Amino acid sequence: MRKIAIYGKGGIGKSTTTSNLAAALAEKGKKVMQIGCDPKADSTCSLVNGKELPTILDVLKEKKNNIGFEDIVFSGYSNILCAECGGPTPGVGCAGRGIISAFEILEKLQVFEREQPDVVLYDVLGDVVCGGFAMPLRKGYAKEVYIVTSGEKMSLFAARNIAKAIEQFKGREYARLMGIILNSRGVPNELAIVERMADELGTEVVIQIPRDSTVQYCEERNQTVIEGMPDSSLAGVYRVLADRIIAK
Amino acid sequence: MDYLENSFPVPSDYFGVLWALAGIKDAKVVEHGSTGTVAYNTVNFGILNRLKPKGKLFSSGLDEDDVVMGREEKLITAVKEVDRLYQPKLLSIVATGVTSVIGLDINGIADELRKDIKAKLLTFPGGGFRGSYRDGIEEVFLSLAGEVVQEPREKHNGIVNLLGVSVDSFNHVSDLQEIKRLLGLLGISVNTVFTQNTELRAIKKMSEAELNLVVYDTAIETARLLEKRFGTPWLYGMPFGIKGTVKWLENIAELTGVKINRAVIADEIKKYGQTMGAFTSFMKPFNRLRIGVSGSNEYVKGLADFLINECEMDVRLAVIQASKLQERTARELQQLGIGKILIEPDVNALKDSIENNNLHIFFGNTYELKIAAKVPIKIHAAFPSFDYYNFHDGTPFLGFKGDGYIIQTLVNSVNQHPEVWRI
Repeated sequence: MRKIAIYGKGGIGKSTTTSNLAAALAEKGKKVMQIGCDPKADSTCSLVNGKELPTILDVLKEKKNNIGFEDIVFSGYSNILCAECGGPTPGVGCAGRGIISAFEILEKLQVFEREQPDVVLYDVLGDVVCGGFAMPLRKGYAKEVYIVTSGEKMSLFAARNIAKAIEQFKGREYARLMGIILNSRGVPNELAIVERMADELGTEVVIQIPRDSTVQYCEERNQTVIEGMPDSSLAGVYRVLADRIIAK
Repeated sequence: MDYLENSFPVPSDYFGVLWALAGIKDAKVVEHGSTGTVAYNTVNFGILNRLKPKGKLFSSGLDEDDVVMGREEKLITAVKEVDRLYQPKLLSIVATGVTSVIGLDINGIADELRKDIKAKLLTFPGGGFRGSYRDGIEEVFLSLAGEVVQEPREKHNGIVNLLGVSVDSFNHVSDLQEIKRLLGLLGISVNTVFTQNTELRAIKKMSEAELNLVVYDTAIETARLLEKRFGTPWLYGMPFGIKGTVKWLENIAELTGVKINRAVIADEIKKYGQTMGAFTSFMKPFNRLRIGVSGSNEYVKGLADFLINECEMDVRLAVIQASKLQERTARELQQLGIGKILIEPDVNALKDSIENNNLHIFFGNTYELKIAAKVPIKIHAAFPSFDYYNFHDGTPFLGFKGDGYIIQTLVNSVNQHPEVWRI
């Protein structure tokens, strides 16, 4: 079982990349589970036709200790298992603690043992701002981390911060940084800029995803590119990403 | 739930962890929290059966800066210092609410610390968010059974473990004494009481026992784990009354292949067995007294069965804890013919049921007995019992001696409250 966390600055395209990666992996016959670790709970949106899934934390609040697997894990496009941690509304509570609580539920229900997915993808909110957002990096969770970034300054800054968090836990043999996914934003010399940063971090750029309105077109229809425009060149890029990650 | 009036919201898993660890003599606990919580818990330990473990709990001295910055240094220093100064066999890091909220990586810190200390190091990162104290107790039991109990060098016939008793278990000093005495009648001895008044050496050797006797249901999962790891059979239940005790002994005899000496049992019954019938007359028809019983599932079930089937008394109300076995226990109580069964009720529901059943006698914990103020006879039979001491070993509720003690308590109480015959 491969457990992979996808981190990156807010709005950089983590969920889009993760969902398309999940769809591409599923297309290749892999059993995939995607776990959204963002209070907005919109990670798996394009895998479940835009439906709003009940979040683990909402179900926990409602059902206390009587939560069942079926209450929090849902089957989406190509039988991808989808779960959303959820969290507080903006401005209140503690989103990091929310992730810890949600992960404890997944552990208690032995979700991975039960479903035995080939690949688990954690789609994690923005920076690793507190202990809760570092949960996917810890023992028993993700073993591999990919950072999604563009060549924009703030996105690169966030990527470095995430890499710092991964480095901090290095001694504990937690997740390792496996590569950078460049989600292009049209910055001049973007690939070179991101490659330079990857080099500094001792890793590599796994793929460059071109800026392409196909993403917006498919998202409007609540679909991944793999589902909505399977013959597009962009779908091909996501398939290459899936191949490269499988090969690692 | 009216917490203000009840004063006893169900304690969290954090407390259960501390209580389950309290009875391991060569264990120390480093709590990662502010010093105030350790100070509170030292008092708290004292309240529980007045059994105060000395020098058991240490604080890392967490302050605001540590919380904001997520610093680990104080915890690391505290663990190393306790290990160096006291050389405990077992050291546990227990998280508090604050460190759990900030998501401090207690398990990761412990992984790094293990190479630097001599003690066996366990972690309990829940910090009060994983459920009730029962969940905390279960977490400790499972952790010990999974990580401390070693492969057996050899299996010993005639040796058992008692599972599920912790410092909060009501009346455990007397009850354990009686259980051990009863087992002695079969020629069986106890390797360890898991986890009360025990030590790491005995816990490591639990795998060598022939049988695990589960006293409280918080240890059922542990018994299952030990059965899976070492093939040790287990039996769950408490011996209440004469019939209940004989049945309990017969079950153990069957599982261990020991022969019961019937003459010894007869002698025991002659010596300690009492019946309410001996004290009943047309002036004092005990069987008409209406009784309510509240407490641990095991105590409620055992006491109710004993009072109904052996004393022929009228148990009207039973109050049990919320637990994995609650439905099963409630069904068993229903089968005994008890009309009203409540599962961890709030104050008003409990008060109403006590009043509606017009009880003469109520068994319960300190808070419930206050709620039952109008009931003439109130008997402590459950945790917490802040205003009632249970450190003496001569007041068992269990076993043959327990039969005599309960009946003696009932008869004396009724004699002190003659008004029960007028209600």
